[in-house]
Amino acid sequence: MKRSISLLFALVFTAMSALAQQFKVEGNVKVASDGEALIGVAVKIDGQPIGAVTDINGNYTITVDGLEEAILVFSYLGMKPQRHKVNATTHTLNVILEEESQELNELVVVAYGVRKKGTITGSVSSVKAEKIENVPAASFDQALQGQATGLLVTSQSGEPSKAASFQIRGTNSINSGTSPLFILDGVPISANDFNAINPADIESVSVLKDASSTSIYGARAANGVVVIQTKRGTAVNKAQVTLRTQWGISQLARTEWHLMNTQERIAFEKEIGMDQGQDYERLSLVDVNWMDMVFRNNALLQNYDVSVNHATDKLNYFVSANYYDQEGIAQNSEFTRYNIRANVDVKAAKWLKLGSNIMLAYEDYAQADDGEYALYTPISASRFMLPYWNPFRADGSIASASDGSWKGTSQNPIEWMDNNPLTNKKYKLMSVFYAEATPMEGLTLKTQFGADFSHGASVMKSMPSYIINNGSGSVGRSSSDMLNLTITNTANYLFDIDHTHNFNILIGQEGVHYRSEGFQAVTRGQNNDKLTNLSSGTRAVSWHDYYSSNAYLSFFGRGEYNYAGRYYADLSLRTDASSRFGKKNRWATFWSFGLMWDARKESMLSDVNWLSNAQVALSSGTSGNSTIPDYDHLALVGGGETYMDIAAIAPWSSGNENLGWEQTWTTNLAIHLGFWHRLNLDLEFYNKRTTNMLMYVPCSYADKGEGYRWDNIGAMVNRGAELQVSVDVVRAKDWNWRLNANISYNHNEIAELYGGVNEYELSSTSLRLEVGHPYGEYFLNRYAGVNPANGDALWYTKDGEITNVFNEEDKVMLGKSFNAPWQGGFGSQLTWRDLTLSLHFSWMGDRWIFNNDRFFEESNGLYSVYNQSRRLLYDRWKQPGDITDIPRYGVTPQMDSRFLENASFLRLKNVSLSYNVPQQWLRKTKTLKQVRLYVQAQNLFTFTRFTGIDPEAVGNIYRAQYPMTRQWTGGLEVTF
Amino acid sequence: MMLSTASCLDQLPDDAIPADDAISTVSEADQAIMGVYAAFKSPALYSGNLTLLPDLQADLAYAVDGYTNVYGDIWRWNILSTNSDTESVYAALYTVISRANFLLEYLPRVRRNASDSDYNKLETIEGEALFARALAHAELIRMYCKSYESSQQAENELGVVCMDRYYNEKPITRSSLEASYQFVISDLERAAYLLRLGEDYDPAVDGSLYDHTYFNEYTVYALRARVALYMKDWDNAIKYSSLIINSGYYTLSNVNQSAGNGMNYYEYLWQLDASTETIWKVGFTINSYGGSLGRIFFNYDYVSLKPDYVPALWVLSLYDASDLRYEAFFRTYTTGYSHGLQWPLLMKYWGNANFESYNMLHLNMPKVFRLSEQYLIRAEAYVSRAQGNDYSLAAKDITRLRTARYSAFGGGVTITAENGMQVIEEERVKELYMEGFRLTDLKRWHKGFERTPQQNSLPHGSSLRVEADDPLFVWPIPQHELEAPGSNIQPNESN
Repeated sequence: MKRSISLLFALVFTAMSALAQQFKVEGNVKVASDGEALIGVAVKIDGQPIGAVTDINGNYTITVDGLEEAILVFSYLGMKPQRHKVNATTHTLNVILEEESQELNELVVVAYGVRKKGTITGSVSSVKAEKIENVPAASFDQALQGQATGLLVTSQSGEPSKAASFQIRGTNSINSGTSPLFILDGVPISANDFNAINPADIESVSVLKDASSTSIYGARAANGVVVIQTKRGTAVNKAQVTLRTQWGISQLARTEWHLMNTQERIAFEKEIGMDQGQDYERLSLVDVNWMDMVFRNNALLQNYDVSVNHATDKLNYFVSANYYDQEGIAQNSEFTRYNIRANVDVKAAKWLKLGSNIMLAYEDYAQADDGEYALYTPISASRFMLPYWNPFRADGSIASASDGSWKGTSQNPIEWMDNNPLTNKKYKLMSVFYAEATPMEGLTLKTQFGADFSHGASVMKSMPSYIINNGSGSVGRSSSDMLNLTITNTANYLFDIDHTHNFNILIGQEGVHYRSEGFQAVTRGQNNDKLTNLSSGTRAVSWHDYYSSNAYLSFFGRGEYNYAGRYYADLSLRTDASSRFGKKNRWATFWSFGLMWDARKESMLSDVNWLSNAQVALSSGTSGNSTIPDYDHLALVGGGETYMDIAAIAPWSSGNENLGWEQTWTTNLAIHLGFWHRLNLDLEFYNKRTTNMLMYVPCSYADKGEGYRWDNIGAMVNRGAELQVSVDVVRAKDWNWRLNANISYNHNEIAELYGGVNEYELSSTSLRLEVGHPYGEYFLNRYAGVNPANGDALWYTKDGEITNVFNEEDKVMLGKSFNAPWQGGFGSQLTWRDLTLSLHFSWMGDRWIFNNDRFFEESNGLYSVYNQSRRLLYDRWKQPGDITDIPRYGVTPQMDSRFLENASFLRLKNVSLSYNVPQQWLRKTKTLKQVRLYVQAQNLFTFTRFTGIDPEAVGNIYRAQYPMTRQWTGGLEVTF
Repeated sequence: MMLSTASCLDQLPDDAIPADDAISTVSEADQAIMGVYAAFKSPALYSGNLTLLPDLQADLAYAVDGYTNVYGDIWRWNILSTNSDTESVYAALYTVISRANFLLEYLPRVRRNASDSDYNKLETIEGEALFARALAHAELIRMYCKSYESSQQAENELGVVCMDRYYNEKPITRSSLEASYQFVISDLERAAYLLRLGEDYDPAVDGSLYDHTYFNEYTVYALRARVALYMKDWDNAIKYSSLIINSGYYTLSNVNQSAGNGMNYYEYLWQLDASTETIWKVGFTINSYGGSLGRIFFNYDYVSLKPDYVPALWVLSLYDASDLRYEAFFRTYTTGYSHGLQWPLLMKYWGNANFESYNMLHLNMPKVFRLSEQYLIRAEAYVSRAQGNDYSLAAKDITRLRTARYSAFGGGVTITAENGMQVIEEERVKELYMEGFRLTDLKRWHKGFERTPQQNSLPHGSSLRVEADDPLFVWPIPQHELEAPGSNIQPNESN
């Protein structure tokens, strides 16, 4: 933030007589940020065809003919245009153009366009490149946590290749998708592809939250829209080359581990009488902490990145290449990516601009198994294995069941993993081509074609020599292809009446066609570890293929109007059709309006200097959701079944031709205030109501044997408030200190279920859907602790009385949900000369999770042959008078509120210290423009009461989770 | 691309057919009946839950300390209406019914298009579909309804939801127990007619009936006899079981006859899933198979055995010394647990040797109807009817069964009013162990049971006392059914 914000331009006046009918003006144009001369700036006389362009030194000369006075317009892409009155006395006019990225004039990417931040009626949060480009992760999603109000980003796992989960302003639907629509450079993409995109290529991420900003996306916008824009050529004068590199290590972010060590385990076995036939002298020689066996604390990360960008009056380009490599902290967890991008814009003629973005990525990755209990997959098995079983031999090699070096009773999970490798490859091509014509002033016709292609391939092996395969291995290969084509045609007409009534009219049409297909085959019988491919097997054991396709067709229009930059109004209308619905209900229409009053521009406030911004905006409108399987509205019969080796057919689905769009109606009120150009406040309130909710409704198995069917039912409400504050505490020559904070609250409530049903228990999830309660609220028996007299477990009955009988009838709604109603983030950025220290915290509040791992660890007799929590040894009830929460041994746990834990957390998401090598040193080199060095740590501290390894997990049940990682990285960034 | 709007918005998968176009020809009807058979392979049915759960829930087996908790809630009698193991049985049975009904909806169209030569083929297909539907309904009644005492009592007891259409317009609600049984019987009567053997049927020429993987006239009688027994309709139980026993198409597998490879015929029945006494088995091939019945009794990984469940001691001690069923069913092993339990494990479900040679362990074809059950049905019906020389007829049936199972059975059996039911009960346990009959038998005999801990059994669940007529002898109707809109399904007492 070293750009000056004080002086915008300089005028030099010379007193001269003004008689001549022809006069000359000359001068120089510079850039505000670095004071360098700007080449190629268009200098135009307003209302006349005459113009000039600045030369290589930023100088221009222009002659005004036949006028006493004229207005010169200076314009350049990415710069704020300036208008200056000139006359015969002017002679010299030097101009300093400012880049268009300051406060309210900051550009924000919105639907089908770009707007200045201060002119939007809707609700948009924007995250800029600097927050994203150095994130030590495969994808940018991690960096968004806690950055924008209303956007909830939760990491699903510490796996480097897995995408985070996104939610904008709460959950809108029970079964249909709740993830926002992601638009990359105008083309819809899937969150699964985020890791294919190089975070350093991203210019900005905009989060569109209300109807006014999302409605124009109509289809699929009900969950909000995240618009991602990649970088384009902006460096004027000469090509700018940036090199970045980053190295680091990953380790567990938290190391909560409650399982017994050998000494405790032996004591426990003796206490519960499991010691028959055990040779404790031998066993006590080994003491293994399985968490350390399964997770490494120095997994490597490296990243190399080069980009070139340049902007001229004919051609803008941004070209980059990237190599990213990260080891996961778990065995068989890694990610490698190669990525190339070229973004090019060509001004082919005065009225025609063409361009294209092309990105090619190749990924090689492996993912550790997590989330399910199994005795053989390491993350899960680490909780079950006994501390006196060592997975490694004395020489460090993997202990094996084949030669008895593995002493455990089940498989050595590390040996299992080693013998069952799974590797994945992904090839990704994302490309966009556009042509933009300006046949007359103010009218822009644009057509854009996007193609998003990916090919994925995996190989799964189980080694023949692995003892449990009995000499006969297996190999599986799968392949999948996806192609998504998007075409968008828009016409935009921008005009004004008397410079006071400003109109911006957009009409457009869009079509999307998606298709994916794939197959998998597994063969068995391989008998040579060196020959493990499909055809070296002796027979096929499974073979599958799949097809999926969908299409959308949309027409839309938007009208924007503002009166003298004070009163804004917009109106949009869109109609969409989706192939996922029955013929009758395929089309739906969405609308929105937005109003905004920029009070600061009122003349009555023109003298109030302390108030730098005052805006009120109101919007309302609808958007849709169609995230259901592609063919579920159809009644279908399929194959794939066999009996006695004869291929058979059977009904697949009975279909529902009445299926139609889920709609969400959003109303938003926003207040934006700025004081002294230092303190900015944004306060927003919203109300969302989803109707015709797409739900996978239970239906009687007796009726067609299906059990569930998609239907439009019920309603859900989300309402909330969001506050964002940023303040420049210190703004001095050498010192700069900026603080920012945001907080979001969302209240979710099911307003209506289906067919008169007001409650529905989701079996084995501990959840119940109930009208009047939020989606995700737990429905459990309330644990009341332990009877100190006899060690019995106690519960509360439905009516609050204490009982020692666990009764299904006593379940109650607990008022605790796995969807956090509160979330936010705050940060600080302190700059002293060339040093910058920044901190960013993120947090979630009132978030609850059922810790399933504890059900096993504190099983009290149900799973005693596996390792148990040391709390069972030390804290369980042993004699009358003991006051504890763990009953006497033998009283086994129930799925009750005892394991429901507060998983709210506060996390130091990122702390970084960076140093810019001073400009005066760099100038001597004549080539280097900027050199930046930094060190940073992700997830350095986490504060939570959650007792599992990591509180950040998606969903209601925490089981054998791949925990989040802490990363230490250092990097270097050189620009020349 | 987007100009042809209508076609673009009509997306169809490449791997499915619109339902209305699916069944028009005889060949398609044949594929659809294979789909019905395929539904019986489900691990929720005979090759899994439906066979194992009723016996695990009762007193036949003990969970081993350190087990994986598979079917744990069932064994510990912690069976909730949201239990996914019992819900999957309910769902899989209605899948059978729906597939059969879907086929039956379209059969008239196939018949209109078919030639005369296809007439018999279509009759068979219809008969098979009707039998599948009857069998699935009968199993639903067995697990989800109280026992049948009399038609008067059954009129007032809840039955099941009887479905005779795929495109159903009628309200979805439970019929009475009486009506449910009548629904099954009426399907069976029609199926028996449609599946009737040709008048000139000769097993020597047309192939034998035993060991079949498809339904035929005698499969229908086997179920008919079983249903009659459960309805306490002794005369019909005797009538239909006699039809099978007397047909001569089936013979008990004898432990004293060698099948080669050191196996007798009875061992051969379990280790190779082939016998002369099997009336219908769910057919498995190495490419087309269902669940694994033996997995939970062994969990063998070529390193060690870690059974989740082992046989109850009282069952093991029930067998006489010369009863060779013991050798065919059980073999003692040292398990791989840290407590090192040594116990007879259930070799009956060790798995078919042909599958084992492909490293497919613990996989057996479920034998849903066997001749020995027909003998036991008839013997029990005689004992219960207790008219004329019924006791000696019952004794004769038990003797014939034991003769085929004992190394030497000379003594004969004496059956009286006092010991009759006990002999029947013990013989059913010994012969039909882990074939899914025990819970139903206790229910219809109104008996409870008690479990006492045995070596290394899981403490939680090893001491269990269940009174006669405990509501959980009848499984709870899945919560899902009660809450599904558009249906009106009444709960059970156990809900």
